[in-house]
Amino acid sequence: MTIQSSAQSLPLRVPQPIARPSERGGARDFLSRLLRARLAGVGLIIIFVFTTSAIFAENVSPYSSTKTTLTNRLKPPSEKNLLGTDELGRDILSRVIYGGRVSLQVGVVSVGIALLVGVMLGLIAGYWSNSLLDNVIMRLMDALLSFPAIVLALAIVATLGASKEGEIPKSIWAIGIVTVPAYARLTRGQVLTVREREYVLAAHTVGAPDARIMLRHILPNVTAPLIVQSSLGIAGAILTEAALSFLGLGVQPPTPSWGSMLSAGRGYLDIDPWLVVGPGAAIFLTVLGFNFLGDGIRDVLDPTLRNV
Amino acid sequence: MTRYISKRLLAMLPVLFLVSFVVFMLLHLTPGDPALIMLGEEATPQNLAALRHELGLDQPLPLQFLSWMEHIVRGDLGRSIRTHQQVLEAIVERLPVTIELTALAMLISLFIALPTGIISATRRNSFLDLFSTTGALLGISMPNFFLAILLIFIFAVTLRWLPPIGYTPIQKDLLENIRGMILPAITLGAAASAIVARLTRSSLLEVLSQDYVRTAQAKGLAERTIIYTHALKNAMIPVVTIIGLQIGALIGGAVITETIFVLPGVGSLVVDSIFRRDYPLVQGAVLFISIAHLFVNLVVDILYAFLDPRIRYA
Repeated sequence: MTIQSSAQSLPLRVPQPIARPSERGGARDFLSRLLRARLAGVGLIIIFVFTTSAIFAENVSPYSSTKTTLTNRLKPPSEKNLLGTDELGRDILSRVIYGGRVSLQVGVVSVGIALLVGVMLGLIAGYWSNSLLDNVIMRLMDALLSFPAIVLALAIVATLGASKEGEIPKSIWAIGIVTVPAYARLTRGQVLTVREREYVLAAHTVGAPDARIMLRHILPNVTAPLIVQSSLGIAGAILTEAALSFLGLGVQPPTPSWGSMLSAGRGYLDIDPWLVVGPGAAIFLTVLGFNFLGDGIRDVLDPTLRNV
Repeated sequence: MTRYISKRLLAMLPVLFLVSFVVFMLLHLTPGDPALIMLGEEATPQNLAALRHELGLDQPLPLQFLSWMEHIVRGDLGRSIRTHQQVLEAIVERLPVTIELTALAMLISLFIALPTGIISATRRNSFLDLFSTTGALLGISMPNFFLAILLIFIFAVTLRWLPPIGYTPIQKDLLENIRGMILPAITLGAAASAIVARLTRSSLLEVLSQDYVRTAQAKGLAERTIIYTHALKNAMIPVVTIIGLQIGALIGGAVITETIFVLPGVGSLVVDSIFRRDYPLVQGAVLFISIAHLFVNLVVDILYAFLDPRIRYA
């Protein structure tokens, strides 16, 4: 402490550590390695493009996403409408840009919910493993996992009822609940190995309370696989949201969402196949982006998997 | 082996109990009166009361749950509130379609995935490897409903080789039945085949780098023998697990595929009953699907323990 304060007060330069930043490990090293993994870089770029255009949709999109022009229906791509117009004469590009809001919001927030609940349950179950609490939690997770995800999500959305305009999409809760077990299981498995480490035993010996050991000593050391799972999880959540919207159980019209645009376009396949290209490509690319990123992070975090 | 199976069956009981609890609670998650939602705003008070009584909604929650469990154990999943058909009967009627679809999808996906994975691993970094790994990577991100639309556009709308939607019963016309199932089965199997191909490749690559394979090479065995009789058996162990897991994904995917291609299976039954607000049918079908899913997984696990005796003693 004294050394540091004297270094601050004196115009002297503290000697730099010998290792260069790239050799040091930690967040910066992680990022530089991630960028070197080509696919992860591509994934990041895709995610960046879709996220910024969704956030700044008002400034980016060429037209309104909901204004109908019946004289301009089902037009193929042109200079005016880069992706053409839909069955009500709305600009498809603008609708794809606005539709990204629903997909990304549902993807990120539902994974956030699943992470929060799943990690908490996994920490508790793993810390007190083989207790009654652990058994109850994990059997409940088994029960949730025994539903195919989309089926349970469908059933939950159906019981919660359709989302009204301006409301938080109900699919967020459905997808969040459905994906909790993945995070709980992953966390529990990690906790089981980490809690046997010396530093955790040391924390026990000095009498640190359980909550502190869980949150300060164990949690930071189980995050790596959770990051990977989250990125892949967002990809999965976006797919599920699009599937729900496609079936007509997502956000309701006129709010554009990629899944419902695809569903509407399917009816005009023989007249105007361009209708499905925009929203279909948007779902595909965003999911691809998050999958690339997840795979890239895993390669960086787990060198044994590299080159396989 | 018998001990392993009975242990697994016993472990399934609490899960089955919790599954039925989750399905029971689904109806009670509805904001407001479930009877009102099912019958709509124009329902008379008498009708509402009658439906509440029929579904037992006028009883206290714990009692409702007990009677629900009692009925399930007897195989009684209730009646549809629209057609008054037995729920189990409605499901069994539609089951053959879903079984045919998922089996074909699994077959197609293995038919594509296994050779692709093996060739990729043995001809590593070749053009074929690059092509198939990229294909698999793209395949995983492809939403099945978008793939379905593209397939319909290419093979039904443009080339007119196959029917775009619809189902012909096997008994009526086998050839038409198969023609109608090709696009749905490809749609459903595509993602699974991408995942299985990727895993086959990485698993085989890992096995090929092990010492006993090097020994086999040192003995001067032919490459074919090494790959097919020495390496592949061990490489298949994780692949079998992932195939088991994929069955769950296939059952889930069938919901969307059946809806798009208008196939009268259990999956489209779920979606149809959701739109008809026929909650007993939704609950019954969801419960049936998850129990079927549990049992399929159990069978896969048992097969797996049979293939790899190390599992049983772990």
